Amino acid sequence: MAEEIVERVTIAPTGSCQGCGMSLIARHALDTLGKNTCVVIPASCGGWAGLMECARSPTVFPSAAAAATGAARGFEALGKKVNVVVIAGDGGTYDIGLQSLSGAAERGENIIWICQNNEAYMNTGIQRSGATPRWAWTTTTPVGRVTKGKQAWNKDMAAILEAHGVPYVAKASVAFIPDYRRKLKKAQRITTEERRGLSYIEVLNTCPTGWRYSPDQMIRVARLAVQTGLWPLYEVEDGVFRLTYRPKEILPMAEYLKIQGRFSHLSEEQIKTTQTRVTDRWEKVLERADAAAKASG
Amino acid sequence: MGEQKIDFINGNEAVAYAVKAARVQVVVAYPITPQSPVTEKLSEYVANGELGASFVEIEGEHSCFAAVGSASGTGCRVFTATCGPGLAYGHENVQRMHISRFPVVIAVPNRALGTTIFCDHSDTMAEATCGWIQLYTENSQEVLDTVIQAFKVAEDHRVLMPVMVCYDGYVTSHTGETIRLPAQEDVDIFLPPRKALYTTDPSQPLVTEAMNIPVAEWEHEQAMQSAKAVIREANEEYAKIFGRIYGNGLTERFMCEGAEAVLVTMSSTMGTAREVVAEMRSQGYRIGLLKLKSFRPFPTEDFRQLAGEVKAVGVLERNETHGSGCGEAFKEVRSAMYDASVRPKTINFIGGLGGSDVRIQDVRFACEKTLEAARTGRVEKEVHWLVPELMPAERERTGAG
Amino acid sequence: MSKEKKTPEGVGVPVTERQVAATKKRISAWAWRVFRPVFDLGECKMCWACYDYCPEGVISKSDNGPVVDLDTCKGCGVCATECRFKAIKMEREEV
Repeated sequence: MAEEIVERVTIAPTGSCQGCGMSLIARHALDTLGKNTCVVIPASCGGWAGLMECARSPTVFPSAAAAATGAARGFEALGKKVNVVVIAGDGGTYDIGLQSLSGAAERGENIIWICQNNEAYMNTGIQRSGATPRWAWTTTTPVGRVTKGKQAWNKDMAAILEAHGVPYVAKASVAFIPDYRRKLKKAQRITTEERRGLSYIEVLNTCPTGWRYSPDQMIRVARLAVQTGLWPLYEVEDGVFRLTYRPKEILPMAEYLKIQGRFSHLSEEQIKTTQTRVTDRWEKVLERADAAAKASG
Repeated sequence: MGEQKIDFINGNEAVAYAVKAARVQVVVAYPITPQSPVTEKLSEYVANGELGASFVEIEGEHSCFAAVGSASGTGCRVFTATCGPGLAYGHENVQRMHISRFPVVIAVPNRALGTTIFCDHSDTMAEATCGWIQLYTENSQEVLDTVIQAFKVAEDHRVLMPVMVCYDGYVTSHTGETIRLPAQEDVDIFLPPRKALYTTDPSQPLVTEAMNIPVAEWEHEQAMQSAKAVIREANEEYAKIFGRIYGNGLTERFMCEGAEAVLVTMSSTMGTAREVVAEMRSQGYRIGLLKLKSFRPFPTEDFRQLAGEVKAVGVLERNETHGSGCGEAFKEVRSAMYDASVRPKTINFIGGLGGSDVRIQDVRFACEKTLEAARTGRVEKEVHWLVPELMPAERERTGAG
Repeated sequence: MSKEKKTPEGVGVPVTERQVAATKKRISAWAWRVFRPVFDLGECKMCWACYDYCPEGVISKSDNGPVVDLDTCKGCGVCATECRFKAIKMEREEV
């Protein structure tokens, strides 16, 4: 059972689709972090997260990390301790927002970055991003006679942030709310309280509209992403890796792919290739988890 | 009044001194020639504890403007400097800076857009439609004084618009001059700490983006018009404390009494033009000089008044808008004088592009042509490009073209 | 609200209770929702998965079980899918 929410910050209704993961991500983030927050939301579905009883600093699409930097430094210069939070989509994190995020991470800005990753530019009509999985249908990687879906693999932003040496990187899921909220609290401690630099939490936002499946399945798809090993729930705190959820059995990728309309054109060969890649990566995650557990004794 | 120490510094160092004296709380900067020495000096001040500001070595100018905007949003006094391609890179954030009405002051050592690092005004002219107050300064003393005044103007509740203080890249930024440095205690009197009208502080959640509501845009224009009075007031108040005044803050006249023709120019070109006009006056020519300091808000009233006094107005500027046939200041000056009962003749002189010099002989040529128009009542050529290859005297002399 | 305008137009607007109420009224979900969650409180074990997983957070906790705000519930059906005890059913709204 979830811990009591201390204060409700987000005010329903939001302007998002039915069954939107972003709404869930935003409300748990703000309700956990509390009203003493200044949030920066670049262009994204997050812009539809509705009224919030906290401060909001405006930004254009590429500048979320820079706008958050200004807010964080400003409050600090005035002697005020405020959560400075960015709720960005994958576009604003992986692509157009990458430069300013990299700069803020490297400078050690005290920003809590929450990437609600729905694996495409959903807000503007489901166009592909650097987070879109290989072969996924999007409106700019359509399924045609010559090419079918996105041709390139997607980036691993969490690994990129890790390489920046920030004090906290984590992957979370809407299907595992207590784990997500615990990670938010940790980010708050490290970034807002201890002022040790940028915390990065990436939450898979299993978007029914863009991924083409019925809204009531949203949590189920998110759970499958974790249980197939595709979206491992982990955290890296000051370089120390910890797997925060270990599925008892790993389910096949086919189960995850076949629910979603955006993968309906995939050949058996492609499903197999995807499975191999996910299995390889999951095994590396397990190796890393076991090595870390051993090192901590 | 405290002692104003005399020092020999360049325009960049003067700007840095002014920012320190203004007790700026957040400085954000990215290096770009010829601005870099400003941020280097500021980071030195911060590192030595002389300026208690948070210094953000941002990773690009687009981010730079986002950061100063949001830092100002928290209630801090903020500053950045950039120019040329850096200003262009920041354009997306520059053009919307006025929407939230958070005061921001920046210094721009004008640098041409394009592949040169040297001076012309194409960078700031490209931002002249973006809702920023734009003040062009003649020399290092003026840029120092104007930066301090700019904070007062920007933060005034009648204004709350962002301000660009411009000075010529390399010409002013890198040229050493004898400067009087205002004493800190006097700057503190002239410029007290910022009193923010509203902020992004979470204790009072507000909506801080006007989202281009038309009536808000109208209010921004009212603020710009109000800024004229605020700029004039700041100019006068500063003069009372520090003993230096720059015309009425928007424009400055030089030897205009009884003039039949006036040359209008901006920035460091004024320094050269003063020499030429003084010499021509001593030779009996009735030529005057007008410094256009405030390009935004444009001092329409000053030009309406001028229109009633002279027969010809020449505009010498360091920018030209391709396809419009002339420079930006020329258009504005003409437009301001359009409704005069008798319109003076107007001529445009395009000079100093891409870092080329505006020489004594160029200014002389401009003054002579403007006087000719005043005397004959005719303008044979509306736009003169002060480019050696194109000027008749040069062509005759060198046999070129 | 005082008649004298203190801040520029469109800026500096407090998030007041009135604004919140007006927002809820303007886009009341009753106008367009297709399915509505119906709770069988007898089956409900108060695990609060519905409370956690509701994307909008329109489910609140009472001593008797979940209470849904039908002004703002979009009828997405996530709560019904996630309820392990089959205590929530989605019923079609009457036209």
